[in-house]
Amino acid sequence: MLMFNLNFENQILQRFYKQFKLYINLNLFNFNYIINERRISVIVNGKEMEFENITILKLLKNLNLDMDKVVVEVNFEIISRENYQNFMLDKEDKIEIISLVGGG
Amino acid sequence: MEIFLNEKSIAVDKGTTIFSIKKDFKPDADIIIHNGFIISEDVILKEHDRVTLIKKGEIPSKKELEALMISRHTPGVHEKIKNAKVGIAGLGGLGSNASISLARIGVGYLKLVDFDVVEPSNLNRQQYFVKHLGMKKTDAIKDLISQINPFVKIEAENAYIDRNNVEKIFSDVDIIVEAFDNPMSKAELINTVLQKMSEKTIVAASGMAGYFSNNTITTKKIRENFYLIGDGISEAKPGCGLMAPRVSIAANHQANTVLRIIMGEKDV
Repeated sequence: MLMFNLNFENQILQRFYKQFKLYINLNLFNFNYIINERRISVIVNGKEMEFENITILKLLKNLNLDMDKVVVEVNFEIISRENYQNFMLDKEDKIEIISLVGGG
Repeated sequence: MEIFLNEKSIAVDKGTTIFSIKKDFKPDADIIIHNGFIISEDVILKEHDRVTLIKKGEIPSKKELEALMISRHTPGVHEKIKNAKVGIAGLGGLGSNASISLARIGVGYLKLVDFDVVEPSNLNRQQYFVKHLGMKKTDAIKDLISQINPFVKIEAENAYIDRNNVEKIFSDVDIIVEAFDNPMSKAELINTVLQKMSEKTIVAASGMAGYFSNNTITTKKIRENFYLIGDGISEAKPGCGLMAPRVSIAANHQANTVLRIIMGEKDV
């Protein structure tokens, strides 16, 4: 009887412990997720760069490039100039920026 | 067996040599071209060989001229070039040079577009002559090409190209040469072609001002239908102007890229 009770108690403890572990893990995961979401790493013209929530337009500004003098490719797709402002870069995106200089 | 003498089919005996043909048909010829190549030593002819005999200083008829010009084009290459349709956007330093090279090799159809007239500051690098000053560039380039290769079909359009008319202007060409001066127009044309006309190939240029090294001007393949020529950085600006040598180096990178695409050579 005593054994049984102990076992029962152990089982309750074990269940409680498991749930607690799951809770901690989930929250650690969420915590990591929040950190990771804030900083993403992308590849710009072959170079790895880290940014926080960045659009193509902001990236161009960061790189000191004029949006009217570039061609932008994200993962091999040409992006329209009208979408530079709203296009959020995602982690591991491959961005190619071709900037044109005057003369001809 | 059959051979072609000045592009006309004739029958000759097996074992006939080029020098014996010359003796029989044009003993005073001083240039002998065998399958697109000038020769000085006798050769035994093979079936379907092409032989052209030219007398220097002789002005041929227009029909004869075409045959004589074709003689310098490599057989098998010329047919493909003659069927090609190429558009040139801008007829300044890049466009005037590229279109003349493409006309010389015998590209069958050229669509040439510019909105401007020839003015004195163009003459430092563009292919125009003093007599063209004040003329529309489209008319001036037609005049030049008619003096170089009158057998190219040319359609010239006096227009300012932007995103709204580019599809219509270049609807009937396969390859477009971006030959603008203004970087915003360059970007607008490239973006429009890549997004709306992806079945066509664009050959653009960026960075050819000054007298920096020849060897920094390169041809890069950016994507399947987009080639970019230049050093990428040498912008035309005060103190660093555009000059004939580097501009024509870049223009002829463009022309050779067009030729390679026509011939099915898609890599740089």
